[in-house]
Amino acid sequence: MNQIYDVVVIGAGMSGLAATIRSLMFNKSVLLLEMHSVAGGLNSYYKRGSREFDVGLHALTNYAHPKNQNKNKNKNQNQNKNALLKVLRQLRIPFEKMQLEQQKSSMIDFHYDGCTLTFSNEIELLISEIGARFPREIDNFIKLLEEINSYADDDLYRPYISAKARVAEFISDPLLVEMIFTPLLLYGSSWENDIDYSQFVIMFRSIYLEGFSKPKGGVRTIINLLLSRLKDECACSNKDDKDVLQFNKRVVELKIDRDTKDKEWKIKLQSGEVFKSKIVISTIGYQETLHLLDNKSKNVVGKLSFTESILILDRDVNYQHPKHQDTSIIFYNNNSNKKFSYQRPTDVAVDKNSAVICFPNNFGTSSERVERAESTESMVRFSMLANYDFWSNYSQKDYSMEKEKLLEETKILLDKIIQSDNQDKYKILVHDIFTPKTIYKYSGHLAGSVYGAEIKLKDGKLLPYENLYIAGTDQGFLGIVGSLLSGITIANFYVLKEQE
Amino acid sequence: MTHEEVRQVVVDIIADIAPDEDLSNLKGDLLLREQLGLDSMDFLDIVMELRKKHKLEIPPEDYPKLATLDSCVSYLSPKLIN
Repeated sequence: MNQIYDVVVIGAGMSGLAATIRSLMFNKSVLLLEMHSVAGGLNSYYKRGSREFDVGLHALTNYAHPKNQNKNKNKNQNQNKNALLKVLRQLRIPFEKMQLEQQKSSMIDFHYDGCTLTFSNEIELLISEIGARFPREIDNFIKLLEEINSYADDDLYRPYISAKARVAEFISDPLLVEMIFTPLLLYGSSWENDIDYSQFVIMFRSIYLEGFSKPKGGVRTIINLLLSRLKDECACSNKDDKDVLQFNKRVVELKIDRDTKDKEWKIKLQSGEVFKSKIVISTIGYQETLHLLDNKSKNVVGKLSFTESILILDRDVNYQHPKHQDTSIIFYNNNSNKKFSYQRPTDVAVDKNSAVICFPNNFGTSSERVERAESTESMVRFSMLANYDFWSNYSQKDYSMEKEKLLEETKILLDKIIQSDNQDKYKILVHDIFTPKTIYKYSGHLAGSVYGAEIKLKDGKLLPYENLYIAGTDQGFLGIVGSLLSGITIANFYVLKEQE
Repeated sequence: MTHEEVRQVVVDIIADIAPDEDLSNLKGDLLLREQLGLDSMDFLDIVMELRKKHKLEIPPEDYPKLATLDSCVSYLSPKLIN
């Protein structure tokens, strides 16, 4: 095994797969190492009996249709191109193959304050909702929209600006500020209770201006498309894809031999196997990569993790529901004082005062949803902020007991939202619960951190190391679209351009 | 290659990169960036495909010469002799 690869990519999640496909397209020799037996990383899937489950993905952000993209082109030359279409184009994945179903609408539900805001993939709905609930703020919100539309997000080196402070310059009602922030924080902030302003703008556009959609087949559609593109690119250059993407390969050490002129990286696996490469792209996280380098200079473990409860119900609870017939996702908050607490809970294992509740069956056109509703079963997914230390320190017995308790809490919350009467109540057919400990076990992300470190390495460089780059969550683009874009960008910058 | 053939080489590459775009009404003298919404990442792909399919190396300082279809043709024609 004396081959020196052009690139070794660590981690076959979204960003690792994208970086590998791009590197193959550049005719590079690439090796993608995955510690797990399946691809996907934080976004993966499994099967239990005949039922298919997704982990991670609730919805894709950045929805756009290629046919509508050109309409806006001349209206605003500065408009940034849609990230989803950019990603698909770069990876040569035809838009139709994603089989995207748009959300009907989603809801920010501040239960304690008795205030809700509904939004869809058309910003007009949110504007009219804010006009109805916060009439004195509507002009301010329009000004904020204008500011967001004109913001250029191409400067990687802007210093951190508190988005809450910036938005408060436009909007004076603290309740509205909190409500606007809730989905944006829950879907991608690695900071507690705030977010960097440039990140806020990106999230705002991707959620409120572009919006949610979901592949008909869930996350496996995306992963399978990526795997098949990887295979195609291997075939083009007469490589065996099993040599390029290797599963069950856990990297334990990254070392660079400073004596050799070429400075190639040595990538050591748990099995003792060693690979060599000119460039390493690590997608496993900032702190996790420092560990491989045995670098103890920093502690940048992310704080935010979640539990996820998946329930399979014997009927479609949205179907003909007076309030939630069209709801795809609910951002629920029951904290008092008009506040949403986005932080790692300190004295409990799970923060029961807030949750993201996703109805994966409730995407797509009305007729598609009715058809599915009649096939009776449906799924509900709950994500709640959780404390990793609690979950990792429980004894095995306490761990199962706490999971049972969480299931009970989840049921109470579902009843509260659905307000089902006991006469004809749904039944739970199957359930499954993931904790921060599960996330750590399967993804390797320390402390089960979902959005990574607070510090993002926006140019992908992990200084002072050369030819070692970070892609994925800790490079700073979040969500599935963001991760794919991250892998593509890092490969474009450092693999394609390097040889020129 | 004739100018028409070189033009086709470029159009084929763009069709590959941007399958959802209508390329039948491309104007030779207008910026590709504006006609098709191509960005710097897409131009990188044009460079990549020229290298893969036609063994052409385009140095970064020459990227601006790929701005329009006409400028592509006049820049690439001497290079695509065969």
